Amino acid sequence: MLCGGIFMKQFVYFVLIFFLWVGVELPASGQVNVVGKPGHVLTPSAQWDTLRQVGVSFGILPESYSINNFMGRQVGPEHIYGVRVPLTAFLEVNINFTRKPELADRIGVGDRHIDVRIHLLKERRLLPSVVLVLTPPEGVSTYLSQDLLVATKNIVLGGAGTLRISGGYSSPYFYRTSKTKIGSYKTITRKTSVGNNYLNGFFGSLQWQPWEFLGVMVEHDSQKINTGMFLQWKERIYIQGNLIDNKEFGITSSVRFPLDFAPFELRRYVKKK
Amino acid sequence: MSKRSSWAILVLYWVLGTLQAQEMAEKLWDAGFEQVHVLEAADTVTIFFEHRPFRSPYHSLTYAGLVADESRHVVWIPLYHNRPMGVYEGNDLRYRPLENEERESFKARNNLARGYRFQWRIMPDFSARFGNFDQPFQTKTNVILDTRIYLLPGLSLQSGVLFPLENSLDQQEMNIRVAPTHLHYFVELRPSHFLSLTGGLFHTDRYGLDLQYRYARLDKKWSVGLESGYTGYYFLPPGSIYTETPEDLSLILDLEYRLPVENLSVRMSGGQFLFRDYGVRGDLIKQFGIVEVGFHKALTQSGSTAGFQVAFPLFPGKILRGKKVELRTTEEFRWEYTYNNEDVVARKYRLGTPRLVHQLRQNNSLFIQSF
Repeated sequence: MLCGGIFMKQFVYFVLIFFLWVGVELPASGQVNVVGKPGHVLTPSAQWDTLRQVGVSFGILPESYSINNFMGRQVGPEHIYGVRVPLTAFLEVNINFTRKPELADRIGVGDRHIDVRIHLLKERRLLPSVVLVLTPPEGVSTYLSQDLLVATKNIVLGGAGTLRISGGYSSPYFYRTSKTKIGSYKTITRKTSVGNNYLNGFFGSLQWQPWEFLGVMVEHDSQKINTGMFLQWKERIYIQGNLIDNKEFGITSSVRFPLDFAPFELRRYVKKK
Repeated sequence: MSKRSSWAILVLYWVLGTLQAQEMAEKLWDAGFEQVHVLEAADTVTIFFEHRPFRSPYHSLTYAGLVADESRHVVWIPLYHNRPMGVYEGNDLRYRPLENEERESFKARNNLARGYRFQWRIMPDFSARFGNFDQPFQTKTNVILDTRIYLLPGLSLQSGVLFPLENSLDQQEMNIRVAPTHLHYFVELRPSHFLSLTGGLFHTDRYGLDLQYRYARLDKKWSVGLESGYTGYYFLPPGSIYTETPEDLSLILDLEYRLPVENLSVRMSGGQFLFRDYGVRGDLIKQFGIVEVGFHKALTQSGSTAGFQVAFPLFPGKILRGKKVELRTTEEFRWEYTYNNEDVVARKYRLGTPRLVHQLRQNNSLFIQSF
């Protein structure tokens, strides 16, 4: 847990910085869930990053609620790294690496996962934003698989901030490839049959952002109720504390940056001129 | 006006024009441009330049435009490896292929001895394997300090020194050694037929000969190419060189299509990859300004894999720049991740010089005009 210790220190440091920060004007849209997708605690939302920046995230899930919990065996907390790359105006690719620090000597880097996020419907005055997430039927250990449809609506409350409501359905089945000594086989398996309780049916969430820099949320992730609170700086850096099942503490953090920048020398020259 | 005074005025104009051209060439040279030739006509200026610190010609053209600050109509002719690549005109950088007259004009002015700085480039060299049970992150990190010297038109020598930082990937010792050193010849055989020949030491422990050919019209979406190599294994223990006879032939044909939107390109390649591995590979590549992100999927005899690659310049770029010498970070660092870490699927070696296909994708006028 050395890593966790350092991380807690950084967390406290960030919290201090954020409380000293005043005044950001744009509505937040770079906030992500534990696997690095726009979302809440564990659930995704249909929020779309219109600036089309690249996102990098890091999340910690407590032992009993980790996504790949090896069929209920107690193997420590789970670290999830995520990268989100916008390819077109309506398509994003998400990549995940997971790591079980207490199991690293046995499994090394854990599951590696890739999925695509497709923006089906833009948010309008009355209509919500709708997003489809699909996982390609590929890979060795596919516990992070998610095939889901989600809708999100933002309601501006004037002086009282923004309310974000999301709801969706995630397939309780996943495409599983297993390698055994006899050979590899591919099946469509029920997530629960392998002890995977991540996004398994209907889910929904409610998020309230009273100020630009802070938001609170509550969600039902198809199994349990989670709550969370995030702090953000300029929609670039997010840090979020979560209570999973309202019992155990978890963390999500993320940064977001554009990729279409000009070379440093050119930017400096333009600035000087 | 007497005949004599009109002559005097003409001469004066000519002298002033030459001075102006010289001044502009100097401004560009000081800003890091090389092989700068400014040709003045009545109402247009033709400017040849090579600009190695930036990865994308778009940014080089933008930078050159700002530095030159020219109100007349400018005809830009950027060079790559000492060869003119195309003509980009005016403020909107409209593309057209070079005319023979312009090619001849460059040949006459090309000056290898005085046209280039002595550029030293800092470049990290990073290889990694994930997922080993005993050691999940096996990495090897080196820093390369290298340079490229132009010997003949289109022919250059790249060489440098490699400083090892850490190695938990293989058995190689931590000796300071020669960085991948090779001769590189680049030529546009006929308009839009590009050829690149490289011979020497490459990355990924390969040495030998590499040939790349590509037919790419820089204003069109389709391009087709061939990448071939005849290589062997080498490594450099302290004070010596260990080589195995080259016996590995690779030959890959590919077809690339630039989608009409979003600077996305799709590339299908197939043939014999490194280690005599027959198969096909599909790439989806997105160009963001100077950063490039690609996803791929490959199916070969050895198995299947998927992965991604990124290419970007390293911060900050220019470190020191003098009249004749420059120290900078690399304009392109490319790294590829492949999911399958057990089987060797659809592997290629990295040359150390950007591959033709990646460079021509940057030079495509549809990309340059997309900004």
